[in-house]
Amino acid sequence: MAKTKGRKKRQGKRKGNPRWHWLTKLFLLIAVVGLLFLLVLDAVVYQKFTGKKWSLPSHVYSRTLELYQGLPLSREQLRWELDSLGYKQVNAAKAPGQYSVSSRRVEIFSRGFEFWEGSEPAKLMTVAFSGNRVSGLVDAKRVEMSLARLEPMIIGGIYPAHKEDRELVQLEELPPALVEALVAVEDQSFYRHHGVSFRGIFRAFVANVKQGRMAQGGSTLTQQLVKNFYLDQQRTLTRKALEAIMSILLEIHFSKDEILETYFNEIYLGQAGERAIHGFGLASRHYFQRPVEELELHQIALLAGLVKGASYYNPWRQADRARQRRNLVLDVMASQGVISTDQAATAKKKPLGVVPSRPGGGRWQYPAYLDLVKRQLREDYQASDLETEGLRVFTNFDPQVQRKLERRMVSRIENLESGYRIAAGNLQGAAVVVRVGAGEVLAIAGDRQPGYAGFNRALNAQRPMGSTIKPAVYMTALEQPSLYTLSSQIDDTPISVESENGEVWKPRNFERKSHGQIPLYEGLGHSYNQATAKLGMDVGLPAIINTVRRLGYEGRMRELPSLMLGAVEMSPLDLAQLYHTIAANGFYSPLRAINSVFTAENVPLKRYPFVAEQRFDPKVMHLIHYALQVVLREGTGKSAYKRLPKDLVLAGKTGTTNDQRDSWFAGFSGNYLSVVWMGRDDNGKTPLTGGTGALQLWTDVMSELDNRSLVFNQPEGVSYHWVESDTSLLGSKGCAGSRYLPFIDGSEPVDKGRCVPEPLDNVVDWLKDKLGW
Amino acid sequence: MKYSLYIFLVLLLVTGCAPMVTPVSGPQSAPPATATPLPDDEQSEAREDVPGDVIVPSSPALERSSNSAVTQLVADAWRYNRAGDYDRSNAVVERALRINHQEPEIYLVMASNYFAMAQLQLAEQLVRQGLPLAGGNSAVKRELQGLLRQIISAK
Repeated sequence: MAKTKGRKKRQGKRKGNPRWHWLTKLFLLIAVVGLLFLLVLDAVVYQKFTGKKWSLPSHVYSRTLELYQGLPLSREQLRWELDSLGYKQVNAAKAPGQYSVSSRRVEIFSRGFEFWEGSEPAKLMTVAFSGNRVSGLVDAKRVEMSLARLEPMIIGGIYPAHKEDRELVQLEELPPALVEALVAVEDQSFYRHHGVSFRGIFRAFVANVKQGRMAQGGSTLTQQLVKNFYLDQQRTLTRKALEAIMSILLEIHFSKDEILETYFNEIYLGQAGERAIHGFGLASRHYFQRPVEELELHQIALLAGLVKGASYYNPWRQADRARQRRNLVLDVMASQGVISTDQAATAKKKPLGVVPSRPGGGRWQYPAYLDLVKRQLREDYQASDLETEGLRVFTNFDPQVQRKLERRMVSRIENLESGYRIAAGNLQGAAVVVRVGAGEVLAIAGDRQPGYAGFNRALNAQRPMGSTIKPAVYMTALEQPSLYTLSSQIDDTPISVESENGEVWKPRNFERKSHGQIPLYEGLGHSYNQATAKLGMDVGLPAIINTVRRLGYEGRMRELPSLMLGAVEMSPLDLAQLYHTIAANGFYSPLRAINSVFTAENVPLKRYPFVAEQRFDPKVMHLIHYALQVVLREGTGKSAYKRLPKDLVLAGKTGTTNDQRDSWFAGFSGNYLSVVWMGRDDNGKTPLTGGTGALQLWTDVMSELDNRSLVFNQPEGVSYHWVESDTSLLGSKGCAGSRYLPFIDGSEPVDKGRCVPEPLDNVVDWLKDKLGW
Repeated sequence: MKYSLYIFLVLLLVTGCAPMVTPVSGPQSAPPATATPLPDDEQSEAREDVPGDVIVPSSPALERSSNSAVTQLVADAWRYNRAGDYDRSNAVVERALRINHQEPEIYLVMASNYFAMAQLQLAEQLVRQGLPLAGGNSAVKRELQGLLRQIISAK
């Protein structure tokens, strides 16, 4: 019985307990799930914050401007460079990023910069000018300096699909006033709360109820960061709760400074075309074109004010609204004791101070050059690394040369269209400028319209190169000095060549006129097609193809006779590579757009050094340089000297393709090589030849550059002789038709021509000299 | 004897007046281009007769202008070379290359760096590029030639 009672009691307890049991279990389950959820959330918060926070786009920089005595740079050009770098003109430069100007001097307080071979500290210097040249460079103590450098300018970037751009800054780099302004405006209790401010929420709630709308937010800076950094932009209760929990977790793990620094780099502050401007570092450059540490109070207040709505307070589109917001920030800063009321009043009187709005919403200005940079980077880096690792890419891009090229491209094309009655907009152009010797690509125009980011003709237009291939034919011949010299007679008469497929190729001279026997240098100088075709057939197509390869062309070439007159398609950049080997005396150096690459943390990663490989004998190069000078002195390129100094030694070659569909000129001085193409995108006919089209722009561009004469040193193993042009026999100085030509030793003519003086003549000359007759 | 000298001189003068050469300026003058301007096959505009310009080899001495910036950079590059920091040395001397690529010592520094880094092929190419520029600069020329000998023997 007792047993039965006891069993009943236990049964009764079991019957009464299930509810309690169930609740306990549920509570435990919720607690466990909640804890697990918290643990997962904590891991998410922790891992993302300690890991790689952002996908950073790579940024591309121009060359650095080296300042030294004798540098061809005018005062105005230096000012343009400084303005482009965001230097501020003041009465007396006292801090990095400032400069002052007097009639013949520019005083600069440069910014420091980390270069590959070491850091360049910020320094005060004075640059003196004489005409368009730097005549002196002294430091703050008036001690003469050999040279100094300015930091390079950012010319573009390589972005991931979401086009988020940012420039990371550390908290200590930020002006204290900016940090104080942000805290004062966005979250006054930031240093007191633990991620969530209940007082703030209550205050916002009261304010919103009073105003009957969502006038104020109660989110702390930490919550704002969590919202932007971890969550989406949905405004639901669940998301708000999540935001609050994550904010507390964030504050448990990380210091206020760490949170603040991340906030400063995360926050969205504007739009530049497709690029989203994130973080104060980039926003400072975007709006004021200067580093954030150089911002003044009124600019700091504007940036702090933009946090509330970068689009709504856009200082370019909504200047009044932006000014009101800025002034409000200044008032708040004053009321918080961050600044004095006088400082606030002074700052309020200042204009917004933003740089002029750029067309295209701040799209990069040099897309053609950036294309080349990206192409060369892709040889060494994965696209994903370029888009996310924040590499800093330093290039050889020269903004001064680019400006000149673009300006001249626009005006020359318009001039040719009107002069030759070409329908407006039909003519296109592309050009490449290279530093001779170093093989550095300095400037590229891929379109007649500067800054147009469409089809890049300089890199991607494959057009028949026309007569610009002819130097390769003549070099091939001159490499056989026992058979060919510059004075060798070649036959400029009609020629027919039957190709393997039975087609007959009949090249004719441009002017439909034959010239009979001519010396070899004239064939190139005057670009005679018939003479070149005959010479080419003699030396052989495989040998010519080999020469083109050694000059640096790696693309496809078909072994067809028409190749000798340029039936091979190249881009202006390809042609620049070929001509650079010629300009560099037969030394091949791959053309380089990139100088060096640094990591996002400013650690040197890779340098792209100068390399050279001798591919042609200097003696042969001397002869071809001679013949290419003939082109410009007497031949198809001689109009260049109407506008260029006569004493400037230049060499180059025109190129015109069938029906004048392509107009080319490739030519060089001692320090610059430029290649220009003109034509139509639909491959239509134009009235232009290489001489009347591309050469004109080439001359425009070269006339803007500080050219040095081509160094035309006579190498060992080359000697000069007077030779009769029409017979190739030895001539004499002063004899009509005689010409002073270089010969590779042993290849000079031996037989005397009609006017080689007999020994007796020499005696007479001597006597005439002595007697003064 | 006296008469024979006069006859000789007259003979010489007669021979000397033969219509053989076009008068030219003094012996130091540069040679003229061909006397007859040739037609231009590609452009009508350029067919105007431009006075005969001259094409003569240039003097190496004239083309090399001393530049304190280049001198400074080359000196810095040698300093890094002596310290064994060849990459930095090359980076510095490339700045000089940008300013004046005709300075032969630039190639000497670079070649020395690559030689030290056992990149003999590249070192040799740079020496060969520098040698023709050395012209009158006998000290640099000797050093380039000496380095070339070392490179060839090391190969």
